Amino acid sequence: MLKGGVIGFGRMGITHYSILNTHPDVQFVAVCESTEYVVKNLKRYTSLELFNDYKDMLDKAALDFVIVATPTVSHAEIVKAAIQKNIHVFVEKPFSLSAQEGENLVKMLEGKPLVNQVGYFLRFSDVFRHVKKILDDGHLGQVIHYKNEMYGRTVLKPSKSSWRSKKQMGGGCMLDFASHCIDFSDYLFGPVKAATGSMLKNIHSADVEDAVYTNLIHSNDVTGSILVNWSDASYRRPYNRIEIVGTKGKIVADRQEYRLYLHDTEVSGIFTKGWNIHYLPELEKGTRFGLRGAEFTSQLDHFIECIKEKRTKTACTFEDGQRTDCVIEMIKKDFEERCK
Amino acid sequence: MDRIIMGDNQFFGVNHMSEERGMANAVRFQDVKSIIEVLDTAYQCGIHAFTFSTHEQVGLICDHFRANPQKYSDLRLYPALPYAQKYAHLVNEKGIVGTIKDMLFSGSSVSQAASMMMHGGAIMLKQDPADVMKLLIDAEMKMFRGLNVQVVFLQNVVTDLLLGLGWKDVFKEYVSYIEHKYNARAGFQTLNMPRLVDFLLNCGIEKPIVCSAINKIGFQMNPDVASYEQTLRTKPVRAFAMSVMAAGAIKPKDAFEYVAGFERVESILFGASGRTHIEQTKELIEKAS
Repeated sequence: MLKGGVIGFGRMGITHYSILNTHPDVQFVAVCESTEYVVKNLKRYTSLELFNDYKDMLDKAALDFVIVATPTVSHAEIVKAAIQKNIHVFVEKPFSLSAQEGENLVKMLEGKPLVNQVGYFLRFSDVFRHVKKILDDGHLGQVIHYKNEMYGRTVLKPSKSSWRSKKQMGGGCMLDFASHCIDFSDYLFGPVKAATGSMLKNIHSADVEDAVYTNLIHSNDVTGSILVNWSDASYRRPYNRIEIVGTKGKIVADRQEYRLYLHDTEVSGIFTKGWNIHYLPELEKGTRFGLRGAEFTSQLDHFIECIKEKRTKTACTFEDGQRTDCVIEMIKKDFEERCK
Repeated sequence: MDRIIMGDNQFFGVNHMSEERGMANAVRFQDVKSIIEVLDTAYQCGIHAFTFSTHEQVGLICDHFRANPQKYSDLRLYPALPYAQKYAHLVNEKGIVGTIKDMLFSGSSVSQAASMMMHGGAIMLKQDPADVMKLLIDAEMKMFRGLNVQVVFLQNVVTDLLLGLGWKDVFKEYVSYIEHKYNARAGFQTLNMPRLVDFLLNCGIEKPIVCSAINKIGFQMNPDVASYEQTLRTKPVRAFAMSVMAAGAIKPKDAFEYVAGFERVESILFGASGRTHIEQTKELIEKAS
């Protein structure tokens, strides 16, 4: 039985807890949270050891792993403390507020048999995994350009109360939404070497951007456009979509379906010439426990499986997360330089 | 419980197959009049049972029902609450405690708000989650006042979150509150039917009413079809089947024959927005049953 703890019992912390609390190999023993109301309920309903200070918890709770779901600003110091205590870490995205900080953490891991994962759950979407395989198997030929989009109605008016609206806490559409797209581009096309034509727009927020538009150039010279807006009221819930144009065809996908268009008949016979459309009901496999989408369970079960099998290379390592933090810095720099 | 119940996903942009089709539907049903037209068509076809989320448009639909009591004298409602997307946004913006406060005080008149604030404020201090839950249920149920409510479902995001947390008292409190305050049965929507049924039976909730996807390809059925079939054959559950056609992946005839094969499936939920489709679906379910 693996003993686990959660630091930060907000929306993501409670979700992760609930999902893993049903895992046969996991026993949660500790939670660190400061909101009084949440703490009182945990006292009433659970026998968890409760902490106000994460350092205390890491010291006293004898944990095998910890889930870090605090505002981004505190990720780096908490992750650092957990690594020092030799505890496996799952940290919410984005990894860290600075590429340098993140790089130090990646270095700290060297030689330590610690499982490390960042919560970019799109990598675990059943449809997007098919997209990745289609790409890797060469059905699209050489990739010419892609368009990677994310929209939602997270911020529809000026807000002061949420940490997501505060720059210094790690708020903003870049860190909350665009980071998903950047990581997803990295997952599909490999590392990014440059960002160009970046535009960060304020719609409702004063302190942070509400939309991010940029173009990425990958190390293998694949190029793509990122279009992200978290103030788009026309979307019922956060929505991700990718369109990839290659020499042999194109694919358009969201988390529910993919549409693959091929110019010619393939020798393999897997796909036909013209449109090939597949929907989630045929692509999705049942998951151990479903809460807010199978991706959330898959990513956490993967983390636990890696701990059990002593595999430190997860499907989304700190190193992966740190590369996204670097790209975020590239985009900001590109934007700021043009603003001068 | 009614055998055939019409759902409301199609009106509010929910389509489990395609986000784009969902959006197209949302456009068609932006005006509440066009939703009522479809409901009237179903009513004329003999479908008098409907399940609704607590989407703000539903408040307007309920106003219409109340304004025409004669016309809808045989109406039976199976609401599901809370409307998850609404709260997800609030939690993002205000945190969990801020959301609870917001939910309690929104949509109330000044005097109601003042009394709730006293009531709610005291409760927030006492930190009794069961009492907070009751206030939240009341706030959500307000739109259905005076209408014939049969079952009040707890929406799957909340059910499954609580199931994962394993907080038995909250489930028991929910059931008893719905039964006593609303004179209706309490039900639960879930993506994890086998686990939930075991859990509810364990809580001492007899013959639980559970609404879940039931289809032979296992769409939205966790962990798998076999566990669902086993539960439906061996456990005392009153099942309410949804996503029977797996968002269109299964042919209607096959889909309804499959669910009708389980004695414990008492109700079948379907979504439709045209007369022909409604009539055909009703006929198919009746034939299969």
